[in-house]
Amino acid sequence: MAERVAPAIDWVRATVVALLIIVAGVTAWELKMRAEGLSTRDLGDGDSHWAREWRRVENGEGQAVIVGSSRLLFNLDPQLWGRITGVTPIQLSREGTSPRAVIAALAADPEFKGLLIVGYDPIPFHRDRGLFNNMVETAREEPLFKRSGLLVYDQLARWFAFLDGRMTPMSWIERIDVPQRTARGAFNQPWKLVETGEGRAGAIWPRVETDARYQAKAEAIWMLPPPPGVKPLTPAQIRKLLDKLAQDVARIRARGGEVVFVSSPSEPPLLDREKRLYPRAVSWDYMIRRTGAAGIHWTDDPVLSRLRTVELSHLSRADRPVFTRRVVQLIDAELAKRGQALAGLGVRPPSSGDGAPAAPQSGRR
Amino acid sequence: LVFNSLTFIVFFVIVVAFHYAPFSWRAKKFNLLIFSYIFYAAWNPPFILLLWASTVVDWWMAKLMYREERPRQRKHLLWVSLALNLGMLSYFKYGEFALENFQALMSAIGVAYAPPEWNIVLPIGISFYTFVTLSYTLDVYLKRAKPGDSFLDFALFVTYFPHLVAGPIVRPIDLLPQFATPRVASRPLFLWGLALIVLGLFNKVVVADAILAPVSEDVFGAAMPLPLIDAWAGVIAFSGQIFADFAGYSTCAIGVSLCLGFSLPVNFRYPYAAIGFSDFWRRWHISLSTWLRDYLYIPLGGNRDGRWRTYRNLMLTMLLGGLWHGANWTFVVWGGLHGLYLSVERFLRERYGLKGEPRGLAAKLLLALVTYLLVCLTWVFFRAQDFGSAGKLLRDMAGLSAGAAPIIATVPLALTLVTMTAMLAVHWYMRNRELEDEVARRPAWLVGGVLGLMATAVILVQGEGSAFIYFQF
Repeated sequence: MAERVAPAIDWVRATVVALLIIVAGVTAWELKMRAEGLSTRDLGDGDSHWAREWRRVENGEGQAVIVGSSRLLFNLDPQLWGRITGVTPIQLSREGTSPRAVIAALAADPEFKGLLIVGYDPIPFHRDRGLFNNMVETAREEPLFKRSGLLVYDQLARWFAFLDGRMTPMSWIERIDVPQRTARGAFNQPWKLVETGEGRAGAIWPRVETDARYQAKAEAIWMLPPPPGVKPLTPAQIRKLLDKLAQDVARIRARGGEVVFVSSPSEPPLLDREKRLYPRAVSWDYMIRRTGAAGIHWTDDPVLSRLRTVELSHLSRADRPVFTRRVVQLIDAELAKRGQALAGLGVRPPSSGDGAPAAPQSGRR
Repeated sequence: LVFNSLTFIVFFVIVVAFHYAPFSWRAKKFNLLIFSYIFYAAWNPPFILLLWASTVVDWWMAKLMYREERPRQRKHLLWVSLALNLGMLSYFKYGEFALENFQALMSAIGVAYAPPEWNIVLPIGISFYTFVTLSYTLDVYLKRAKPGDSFLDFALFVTYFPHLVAGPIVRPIDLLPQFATPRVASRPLFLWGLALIVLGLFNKVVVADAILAPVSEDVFGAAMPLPLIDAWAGVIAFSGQIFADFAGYSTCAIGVSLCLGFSLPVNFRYPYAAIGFSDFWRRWHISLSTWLRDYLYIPLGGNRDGRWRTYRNLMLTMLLGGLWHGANWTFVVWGGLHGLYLSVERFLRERYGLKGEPRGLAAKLLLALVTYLLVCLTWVFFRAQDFGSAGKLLRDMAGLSAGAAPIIATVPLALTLVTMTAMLAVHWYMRNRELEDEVARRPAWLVGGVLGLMATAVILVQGEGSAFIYFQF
């Protein structure tokens, strides 16, 4: 094998030019991303972030765990929850993804005996495959280098907003306005809906609330036709998957854990679609009856039903604490009805000051 | 550890710092060995034991073989090495596959057999380092080479992190002599190494992962019928993805190694400019194709025993080459198709007395295009999960799914078209050229400018450090 030799050019000059272009390119993109609304408050939310939180549960820190799809990810404030109850829940919700597989994994973990708050967003809840699949397996098999890489990323994310990664030059090109040959694609999707802080605490991205055009685009995605090949479930199929869910819930409760289902507000026409695909009697009511778990449905509560969404599906940042306080209060009351208390799960019940729901603040503009 | 990860940047800085620190040459090699184990352990630490077992056993078998003159005893020693290396490979990679097929066979003759659950994780890169260590013992057995004098050098040859998990599959002659004397890279060589890392990462992160992977994943993952355009776009995108992914890794490996002062062999030579399939295999995964040629095809008899035996040897070599890529019959079919192509090409050359390449540019281009399209057909089997999916996609590509709804949006389709046209044009332009020569002919500011743009694209596109496709093999 021949020894390699470097091409005979002025490598120092080439390196200087390359570095100048890198600095200029990265700076320009960083400025553009900040102008688009990104900030260094957002610490990112990839598979490794989720895996890190999952390992906390496996390591026995799961006194209170939130699983669900985007609504509990955006609407619940784990830090506020922690201030109220003394235990900050671990956030394991993931956008567009059913929590059922995570519940099954927690049910199979004999060490998990905590409070499990399950977000019920009808459409993703019933899906077998969502935006993120095999999250538990991926977390368990996550190689060491990804874990260490996340530590480096954590530091960089505090300096560079563009590291958010949801808007790359590629995704920017994909959103160029040209005649489209398909009904679905990146071109009709907003590129970002959530801002994520420490411990994957999510909240709706401010731009969704402040930019009317962007808000309209975000609203439109809920009404897109389903992906090709996806068919609505029949009542029998719904019952089958909820029966399996009931077994998992029973296992958690049998060893002293508790499960509470939480449904968050949505608005027409998305709400109409949810009601049509998963009628309450067939899905929610059956699930609560079959699991015997506590259920908080937003339509049953005067405070929650007054909340308005930003883009049909998620609450504003201002209403996030209202929602959080009210849910804590309702969970405490539901458990009390069953002769249990949050305190029995190692969680402090809400004090009157912290737990009082504030008035809804905002919603769609 | 993957090259396109934040951890690797930190790792590489530390490795370079140690390598250029004032240690003795022996200490530097020891450092590289330890860092190589860390590189491997960053995936799954326990699998280091397999690497150690392979290293120690092959070191001693080669030593004993060299001292042993009696053919029968030498063969026994070779069998120990083969049993360990191929045994580990078979257990981890083909165990489940063998059980599934045994179950299917039993079922076919009416015997109900339920195999035990097989939850074995495949050690990363096992196919690569198995072939590296086997080349050492086989060379000593075949008396092509003497065993090394230093266990440290041999352990480093097996474990050297740039090639460890996805090649190039190095031979003892490639690396062992380089470990004998102190080496560091000169400043130009170091910077050229960095340039190759940037080029490799651009291929992997931008071309393979960001541009082409989404299209090929959508098409190969589609259960419903697809229009002809979408089907072909997905397959062509995969042809580019797998090249950019794997050649990108090899380029990074060569660059990383060069920064430390060591040369690794070339693994890809613009394969989509190949005219014919023997030309393709001189350009695609060269370190594997030459390994299969030297340790399988030639020992089987090569082309020395007549036409039919040559075809048989070609088919056997390519079928096993297919199986090397993965425990699935689809990979065997992929290899079988390449074996068939090679045999037909050989037959046509002999039948019509064709030698070398055609003279005219149009004929060359036409043959290169035919070669590329036939290679694309083999990628269908390589990438599809099963024969059902492959068959469906082939029907789509034949235009038999009239009225199917498109799934690739306009911009990704256009990006695929532009990227693949550019890739094929670059391959054609470079088919008889060397990258080093081309770079040397350009002004420094242009080289720096292109590298700067590539590096910027890599940084902005980022990704989550997805694994290289060939890691799974």
